[in-house]
Parts: sequence; C-alpha cells; structure tokens
Amino acid sequence: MKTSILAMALATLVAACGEATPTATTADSVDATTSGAKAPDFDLKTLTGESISLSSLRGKVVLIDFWSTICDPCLKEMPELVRLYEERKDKGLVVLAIATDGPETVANVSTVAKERNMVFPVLLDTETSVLDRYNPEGRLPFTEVVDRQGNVVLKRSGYQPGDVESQKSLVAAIDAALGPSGAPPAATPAAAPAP
Amino acid sequence: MGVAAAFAGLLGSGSARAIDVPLGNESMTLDVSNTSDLGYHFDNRNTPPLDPANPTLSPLQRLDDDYGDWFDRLQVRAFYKKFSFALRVDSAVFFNLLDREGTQAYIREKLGRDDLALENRFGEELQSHFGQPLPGGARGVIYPSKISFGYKNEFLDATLGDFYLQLGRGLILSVRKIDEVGIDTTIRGAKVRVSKSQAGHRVEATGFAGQFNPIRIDYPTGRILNGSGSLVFPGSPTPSDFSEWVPNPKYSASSPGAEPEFLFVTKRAKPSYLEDGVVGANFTYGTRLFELGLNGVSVLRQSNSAEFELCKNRPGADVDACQASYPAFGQVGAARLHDQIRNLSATVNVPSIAGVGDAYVEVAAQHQTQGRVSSIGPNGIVREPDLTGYAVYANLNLHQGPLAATLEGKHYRRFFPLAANIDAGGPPFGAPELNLLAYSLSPRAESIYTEPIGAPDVCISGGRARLDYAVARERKVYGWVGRFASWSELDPTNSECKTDPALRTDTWDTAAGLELSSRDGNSHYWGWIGARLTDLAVPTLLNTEQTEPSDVFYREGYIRYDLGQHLKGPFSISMVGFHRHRTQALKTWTEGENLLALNYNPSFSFIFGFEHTTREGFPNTYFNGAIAYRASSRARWYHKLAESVRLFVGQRRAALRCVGGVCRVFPAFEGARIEVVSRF
Repeated sequence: MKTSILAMALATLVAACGEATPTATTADSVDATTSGAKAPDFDLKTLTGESISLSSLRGKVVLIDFWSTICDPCLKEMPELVRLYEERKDKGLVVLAIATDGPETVANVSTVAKERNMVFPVLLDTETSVLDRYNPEGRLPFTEVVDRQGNVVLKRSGYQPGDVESQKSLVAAIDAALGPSGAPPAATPAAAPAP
Repeated sequence: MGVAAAFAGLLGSGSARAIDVPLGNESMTLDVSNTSDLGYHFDNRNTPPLDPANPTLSPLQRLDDDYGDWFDRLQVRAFYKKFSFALRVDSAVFFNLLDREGTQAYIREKLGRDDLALENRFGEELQSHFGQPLPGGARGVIYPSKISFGYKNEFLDATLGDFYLQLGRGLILSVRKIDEVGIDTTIRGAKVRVSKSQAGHRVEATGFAGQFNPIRIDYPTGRILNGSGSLVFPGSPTPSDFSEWVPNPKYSASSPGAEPEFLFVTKRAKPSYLEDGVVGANFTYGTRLFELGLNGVSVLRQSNSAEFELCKNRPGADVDACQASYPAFGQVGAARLHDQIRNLSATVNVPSIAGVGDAYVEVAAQHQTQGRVSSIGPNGIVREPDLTGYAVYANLNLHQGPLAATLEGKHYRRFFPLAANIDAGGPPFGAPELNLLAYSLSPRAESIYTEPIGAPDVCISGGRARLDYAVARERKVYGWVGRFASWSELDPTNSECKTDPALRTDTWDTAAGLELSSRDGNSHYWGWIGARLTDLAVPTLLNTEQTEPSDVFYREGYIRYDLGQHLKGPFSISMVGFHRHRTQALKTWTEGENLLALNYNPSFSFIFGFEHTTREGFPNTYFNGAIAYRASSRARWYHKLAESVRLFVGQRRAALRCVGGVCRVFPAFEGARIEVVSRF
C-alpha cells in the first residue's frame, strides 16, 4: 500500500496491495539488504489471543511479513513463506505474519490463515501502528528478516511469483542469519511461541 | 523547499543504509525514506461542451487541466533503547497554474466576453484548492504531518504526538492508514497503554486524548485541507484571506467620476476543516479461552454554530466576517449534526472454539448531543435534537479440514460514523473531496469490491455466509451469499431510522471465486464473479421515464480476474482486470479496466492498460502505459536513491475505487507521472 498520487494513477498497474482496483503484477518488489540496524520492538496479539513481542524472540531468526487478506500478491507469497518456515523452523526460524486488515476485512483473517496453511503465528495490526513503524510507505507485502541479535538483515517489499532472484536473496539472508548449523548462539534467551 | 534541502543533505551525506549511530553503550537506529512524485496534467476530458442556452464555466473542470504538481513525503524514524521518534513531512507544489491573465483569456475565448464574477470564482477555487502562493506563480504547502515520541517497555507503551488507534472492530473508533484512498489519520495527543500478563490472565488498559489529524494534502485530488490554526498542529495549512475586484453597486455610468467602477474587497479566510477533540479509554481482560473488552470514546466537535448565529443576529452584522470568526459549515450531512458524540462498546472475543473456529461479538451504543444550532430567535435556541443509536456486530469462523466458513451479522440503528468536521461545500473555502473522512469504520459484511449499501451505519440489518473449500493445495473455490434489509439506502437522511416499508430495500449480495496455481507457484489463475440485487419493498416510480412502479432498485454484476503465467527464465506475463455492469432507474452502464504486464524479474515491468465506461457524460475509452523499475540490490548508492521508480503515461477514468470496503471517487487523469522511492 502506498500513499502517493502515482499509486493512485497506477492503481492497477503495479502491485501495491489492496489497491482500489485489481492488483497483481507486483513490479513493486525490492530486495533491500541492510545490516546492523536494530529492529524496533513491538507487541501484538495473535489470532489465538496471545501477545507476542519481537524482543521475546531474541536468539531466533525472525521473518516478519506484513500482509492483508485484500492483498493478492501477499496471498501468492504465502506458500513460499510456509515452505521456508517448515524447512527451517527446527534451525530457529520464526515467521510472524502481521495482518494489517481493517474493520472491513479482519473477520476473514483466521479463515485465510487456515486455508493458506499458515502454521506460524498470525498477528493483528489493525491499528497499522507497527506497519507505520516498519514500513511507513505502507507497501504490501513487506518482509523483514531479523537476525538472532535483533538486527535487520534484509527488507523486501512486494512479491512477484517466479521472481527467483528475489527469492534467492531472501533464502540466502535467512540461511546466513541461521548460521551453518542452524544452532543458536550460546546466550539464547527465548524460544518461539507455538503458532 | 525544506524537503528538498533535507533530501539533498541526505544524498550529500553518502548515507548508504539504515544507520546505527553510537550513543554510549547502545546505538540509535536512524531510518530515512522519501517518496517523490512529479506529474503533469493534460486535459482530462471532464469539461462538458458549453450549453448555448446557459453558457457558464466550471472553474475546477478547467483548473484541473494543464498544470504540474510535485508531491513529496519525507519519513524519518529513530529508535534508541526503548525510545522512538517519528517525523513525516509532507509537501506539495503546484506549478503552471492558470493565472489571472490566463483566466481572463480563457473566459473570453469560451464566452466571448469578460465576466468578473466568474473570474473571481476561478481565483477563489485556485486559492482554496492549491495552497499558498510560492515564488514563480506556483502554489503549495509544506508541513510536518506526523510527529511522535514513544516509549515502550514490557508493561508500558506511551506515545506523545501522533498515534494510530482502533477500538474493537472499528465501530466506535478507527484511525489508521488506508493510503490507497488517500487516508492516513492519526490522533495527535497522548496515549498510554499498560498491560500485564500472569498465570494465563492478561489485563490491558489504554487511555488517550488529543485531536484528530487527517493528512492535509489530498493526494488523489491535490486539495489542501485548511485547518483553523489549532495550537496542536503548528505549521499545518491554514487558509488565507482572498482579495478580489468586485463591481461597485454605487457606480453610475452617467457620472463615472463620482464612484469607482470596481472595489477591491477582501474576503476573510475560512478553514475547510475544524480540528475535533477526542478522549477515550479501553480496558481488556483475557485468558486463553476468551477476551472481554470495554471501550469508550467522546468526540468533541467545534462547530461554532451558536456563536455564528449570535454574531449574525447582531445589528449591522457582516455575515462574511461572522463566518470567518466563527466558521460553521453549512453542508454538514446527517453525521455531522451534533458536536458531542459519546460511543461505548463491549466486545467478546473467543479465539478458539474447540480448535475449529473463533467468534467475535461487539455491542455498541452512541449518544449524540449538543446538536447544531439552526437559529437563535425570540423563541430561543433551536438545535438538532439529541440522537441515540446502537449497533450489534457478530462474526463466527469455522474451519474443518478443507472447509472454512465465515459468518457475519450486523444490526445497526441510528449509529453514525464519526464523520470528520469537513466543509463539504464548494469554493472558495470548502473541501468536498474530503467528505468521506471519518474517524470510525464499521464492519459491513457485504462485498468489499463495490460501494457499501447506502448510508450503511444508519439503519440496516443483515448478514453474510461465506464458504471456502480447498480442493487441493493449488485449487480453491469459494462463494458467499448475503442478505440485507436497509432503511437508509433509499433515504440516507433517515437519521431516526424509521422502519416504514416504503423506505426499505432488500438486497442479495453474492459472489463466487476460483483460485488455481501451478505446483511450482510461479503461475496462477484467479477469478471472481459477483452480483448485487436490490429490490424496493414497496414498488415505486423512481423517475419520470418509468410508466409503472417497479420493485427493482438496482442490479449490479462484476467480474475480477488475476492471471499470471511464467514464460521462461526471468520473464512472466500477467493480466488483471475488473469490470462491472449496473442497471438502475432504467439506466444501464458498464465500466472497467484491464492491465497487461510483461515482467522481467526482478527489475522491470512493462504495463499496458485499457479502461472503458459507458457512463453518461464521460469519454468511453482510456489508454495508458507504465514502466516500473525496482532495484535488485542495495550495493550502490543509486540503488538506495532510486529503490523503485515508476513512470506512467496516459489516461485514467474518473471512477469509484474501493479498498477493503472504503470507497471514494477518484478524478480523471490524463498526463504523465514519475514516482521515485528512496530508502536510506
């Protein structure tokens, strides 16, 4: 999602999600490898009523994915995130899928999460306050990878099915953060909550 | 421009990423991004041919042609230990606008004569729409749109400045980002949230107070929203007085020296937006089994209606000066007739029902008091009477194996959205494009792809059932059917919610969809088809062309599709489209759009678009093209400077566009735009 007038003019042309008209072509993705910057902490409720804070996951590699049920590219991206999570959860990967649905569509989140087999925690950011903190331009999907020390190691916005290069960058960043053995460093304080 | 200077400074610094600045034993993270959007508008073909019988010109239909604009948003985020700081600076510059001489020439060309009153209307529209004068004949505004300081630890989350907030499912308060329709509203004030979890029990309490803060630049239209100068919003746009030449009523052509022919008068500035105050709280208690919530909000509108009436009634009063001193908006609508609104709600959330579902219920009440003063006279003060309403919303989700069911029901009576205090009137000081701004958003249950059933909060009952079935991992089908009875669709002013059958409309809202994907996930074929059938409970003549009463109010059908095919290597092709067809009151129209894109992953997309409409008074076809670029890495400085670039050339039709159920009409566009997103 984005604010600019160009997005309005381009509404259907590029995949800013939840556009006023159909979305899909996702020319919007950006791989943005960063390093060193601390990921800001947040605290959100899951679909199951628990609270999860990012700081409680220190010692894990966390993939934060902002999505919404009205964002078609987000839904297309979900099988890949599920696959990534299932292949690497034992090595310490945690996926937090943050739904930014508003009052109109939040009722659909749990259904979509179930039918897309989202076996990781699904958090609700109905206020869009965490979205604004991480991704003020508001584009969806928006993905960040946070290493075991809480540093952001990759940002990616948008999703294009078949974008092998972008997917390679994401996988490489996650694997590098997990380390060769996937073993967490000695001082690992917390474990991921159950989905 | 300040933004440009800041931007240049950032470039000059050679900053290459989100920056960690060492501060003591910790470091401060600085995150800077900027979106810059430059465009030029040609004739968007919305000016109708001149009516020879009544030749007149609409200023806005000319002023939205042949000019350029530049929008910029600079976002700065800083995080240090448990503290955070956020600043957003918005700016807009409009150039090559129609000046006074250009206006005179245009009027002469079209009408064959001078028209000072019309010329003044052009000037008034120009000033109220495009902000303050800048050097070189340009206009614009720059202001700090959002600023906040935050502190967060395990128990406490405190914000001073701007914050987003939603209580429950938004029935009684929802201020959030819906950028696609130009909405980004916060509350500027203070918010404190405390929470504590222990032994499976969790308690959370939130208190807040402040003033609502919508974005003052309406990006879809370029309209600047001028406030009344609240101290809470330093630097925000405010209106300026308007000076113009008007004919002198005392002038006589027979004695031209006695009085000047024209007088130079100044109209006092009036805001198009009055800052509304809000105070509220939330208390939530939850366990693993359920969560209970209590929410309360009190909105204090400043309407000045009583002060305005008193001022106006003074002997020899200058009404224009009274309006400027005590701005009171005339066209307020049914949702803006009271200055104090108290909303309360209670929520119950059951996150898991035996592992196969979840449920949510919200019951809300609304009391509106301090009605607008319509007159003050010998019989005392005449106000809008108090109004009390309520709303009930319930949602049940069930999942079992490949099946998922979503049930929603609603029952709303005299329950109004918290409409923003916008002057929805015309020039010189109104901002009708912002009429949709509201500080709450109710769940609606009907389709989110077309407009909601009319005046959806005021008087409606109904519900929807949706069923999803995953045939396989790559194949899904779904469908829904909704049934609604509304007493406010036919008559949106039915604020008392009279349930007279003559006011009732009955709606079937239904749709079905199919999703197919290839096994590797690189190709997909999604399609939706939907219909809305709305009948009148009592057959009625809806217009003069009808010969017999009909029980059909309208019929609407739509189709959406989203197809993507991987070709080879980095190439893929995709096509998306949305088309709708509607029949109402013997009139039928069709509109829609289709986009075809060739993608060269990961960096380029080449897009061709086609739009059509058969709506009366609009051109039928529209063509456009776009190129979108995204940086494939961040290895070089220019990747950060131009993280993504989009170039659009062509036409777009004026149309209603809906995002997640929030709909607004976008103006027609013809021209070129380029947008650059930078992230440092």
